[in-house]
Amino acid sequence: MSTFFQAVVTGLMTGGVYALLALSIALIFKTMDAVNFATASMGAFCAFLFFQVGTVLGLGWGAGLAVSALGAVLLGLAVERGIVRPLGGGDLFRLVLATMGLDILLNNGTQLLFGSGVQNINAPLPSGGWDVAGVNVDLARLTILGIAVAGTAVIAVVLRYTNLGVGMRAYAQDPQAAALMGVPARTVSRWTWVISSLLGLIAAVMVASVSVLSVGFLQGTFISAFTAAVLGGLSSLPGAVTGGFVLGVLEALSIAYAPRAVTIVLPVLIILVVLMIRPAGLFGRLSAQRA
Amino acid sequence: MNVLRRLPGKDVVVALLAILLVFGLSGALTGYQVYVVTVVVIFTVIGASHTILFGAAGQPSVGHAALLGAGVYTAVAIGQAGLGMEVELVGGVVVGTLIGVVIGLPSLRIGSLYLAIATLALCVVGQQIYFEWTALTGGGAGVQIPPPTLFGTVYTPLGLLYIALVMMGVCLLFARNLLRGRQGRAWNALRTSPLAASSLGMSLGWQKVAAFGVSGALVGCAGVLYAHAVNYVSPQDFTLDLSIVTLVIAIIGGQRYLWGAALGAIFVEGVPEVLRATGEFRYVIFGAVFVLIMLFFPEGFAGGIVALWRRWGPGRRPSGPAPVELQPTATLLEAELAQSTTGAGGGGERLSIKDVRVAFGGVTAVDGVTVDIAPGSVVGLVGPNGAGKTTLLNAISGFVPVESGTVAVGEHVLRARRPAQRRALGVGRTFQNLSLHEGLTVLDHLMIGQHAVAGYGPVGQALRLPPFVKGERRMRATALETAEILGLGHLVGERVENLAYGVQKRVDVARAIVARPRILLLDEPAAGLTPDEGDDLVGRVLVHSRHVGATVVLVEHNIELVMRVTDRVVALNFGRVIADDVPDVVRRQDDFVEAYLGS
Repeated sequence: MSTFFQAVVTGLMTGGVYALLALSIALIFKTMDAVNFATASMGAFCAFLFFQVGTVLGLGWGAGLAVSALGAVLLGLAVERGIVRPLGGGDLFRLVLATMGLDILLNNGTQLLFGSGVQNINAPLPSGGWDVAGVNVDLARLTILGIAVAGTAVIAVVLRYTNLGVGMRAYAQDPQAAALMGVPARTVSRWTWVISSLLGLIAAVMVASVSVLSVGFLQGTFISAFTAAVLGGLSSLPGAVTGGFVLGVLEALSIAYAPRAVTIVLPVLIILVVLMIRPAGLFGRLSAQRA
Repeated sequence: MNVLRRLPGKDVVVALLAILLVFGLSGALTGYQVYVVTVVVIFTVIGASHTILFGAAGQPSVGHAALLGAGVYTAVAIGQAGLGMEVELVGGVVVGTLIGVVIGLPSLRIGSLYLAIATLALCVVGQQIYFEWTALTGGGAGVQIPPPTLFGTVYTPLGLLYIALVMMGVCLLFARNLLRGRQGRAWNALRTSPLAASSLGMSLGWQKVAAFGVSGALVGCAGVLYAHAVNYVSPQDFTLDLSIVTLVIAIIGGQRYLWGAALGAIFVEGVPEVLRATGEFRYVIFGAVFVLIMLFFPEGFAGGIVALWRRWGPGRRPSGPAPVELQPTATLLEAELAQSTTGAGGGGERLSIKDVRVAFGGVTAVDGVTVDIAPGSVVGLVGPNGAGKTTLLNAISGFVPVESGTVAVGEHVLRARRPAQRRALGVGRTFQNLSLHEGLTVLDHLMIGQHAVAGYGPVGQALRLPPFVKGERRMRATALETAEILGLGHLVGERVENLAYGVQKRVDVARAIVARPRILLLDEPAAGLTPDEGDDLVGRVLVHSRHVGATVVLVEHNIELVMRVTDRVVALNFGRVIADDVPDVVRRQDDFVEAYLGS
């Protein structure tokens, strides 16, 4: 039984990271109807900035965080201005493909700027752990979970209670109608990418702080987060968060109980099963159309 | 649409010359250059597989690395069994087709975006399977592949380049033949307007499965060549990035054109080699160019070249495309209708609607409608907005589920059938909101309209057998004839997006009537047209229907028009029939007048 609880606790902690990155994916999907394939490389690039400023230049993690956050904001703005807006509301696949190109560009750009080495970012996280009824709760991971939950809560509050959030939700449903009602489409689009980019940065730094930092280090997490988003319904933000935690726990359970092969293909299995049984995911809704 | 000109076409000659050129030059290449050219040739084939799947059928796939791996490891397995490359190629094609079909199967249930996600899953799981299947793939250590043996002869890398060139020629010819004709038109039709495509008898799901199968066959073939070209493969090669690269090849080259795949392959596989001097920087350049192409040349290199050719090449148009207008001939209606035989003039099917009920949630849109329409008659379906007219049409054509009651065409009850299957019973329809195929010409639309009556299948088409040639010739003749009747004769070569609204409406109607449906459902053909245009269009359609013998159901708001041209008028209000008689009687009926004009 303690194996089970241990798996659940570990899973929830991993799930927090998935939830954040899934939120980043779902946010873009909800407003743009497109999957951002550069999610991982954008986050990774900013995490490298964090490492470069905080550790290599020795300015401390506070400065690192500030600079990398600024970087994430600028990157989000640049992507929105340089790729998303010129492509307009045209063919959605073009935007998806352009993000694939961006992924190639950023991955290789990161390697060019920061080298292909494997780094340890030594984040200022508490070490050690608590023993709760035989279940080990790792403090570093618990902190990460806390940050993930806090981040999610901030996003939820912004979307629900601010003018910007209401505009974003209106824009997501029908950009044209929203624009006619006075929602500033450009502002909404810009902030969507900025927030998504910041979420990517947080997720990237968190992953890097419990493993290592290297070019493409976030790709695996991206696949898991994407699975989580599909599980939750892609366009549903609460779905993405729930999907993240569910996937984290399922992964931990399969590591504890199932053969290795199952763990490896778990995300894929989940995607396939969800697509076949309930393509809209746990929380999503398929739009109805009129002939 | 130059399919009917003598074979081989100009494009085949050009492709042959290009292949021969590479043949001729290959002797002067260094060993490494031979390898690069071979890889470019192989990736041209993979790019062509996306041209079919994404360019024509509109389905992006990021699972092609797994498919390529399947081809590669089929070659490895067959090679280890001591058999030659000829067997490997057959095996690669078979395995590729099978896997392609299997990935395509979910499209019977899910939309293209979700299917794209499923291909992502395939890519990840495929790579994991290759890692785990160490007996075949050598796991992380990889596996060495001996030089190819074809019909007992061992080939050098240069020999392999020749084999690859020949296989590329065969693959491209096969793909080209499929794209030109019924199959390619069907893919293009369902990409540009799934709704119209299914009303014309195309099964969206199965068409996509077919596209996946063909795509898989090409990649399987490419995989066998790839295995021998690289000598050594490891599961590490078959990443998501590789999948994306293959898709990039098709898109950057221009996914609407097969030769675009060659340009894309040269750019993606060749240019980084040329840029080798720039070191690591070359992939940054590569990614940047890709983003720029997406932004400025959405149709890729080939699309850009074609656009430039249209603009500056010989035979260019003097001015940019302004909407093409047509002058209606208002007198046509009265004169022609008077001349053509009225009533049940041969042909047509009986349409029996019995107690049909359609509800959306709590709203009952059609509430127990019973109408019996005699063969060959023209029935007007009228009623105020929200009366349930379009819903009834949708129920007849199978787009919305019927809650209770039956719809029958002749003897055949239509309950719970899919829209595509109704076309086989001769039900054709037009759409209230235009549902045209963007980027295709008027003639293409008229050929697409005859999908169900082409008289040949994909095999006949791929091999250019006599039924294909005959069928194309006949359909073309019918298309031109119908275009003439609808006054579109001089516009057949025009892309539909260059036409004015009124003309587009004619094309929409023409596509529905060109295959001579036995029952024709017209959904507000005159909406948005001037009274003259509306009269003109409806007149032309009815002349055609009487000519070929069809039962017509006309939904229309222009009451005067309906009263003049129909044999019978059925009026709906709140989903119920409130009047059903000859026009002159309905016109005087009190509740009809009330529903329309208010008391």
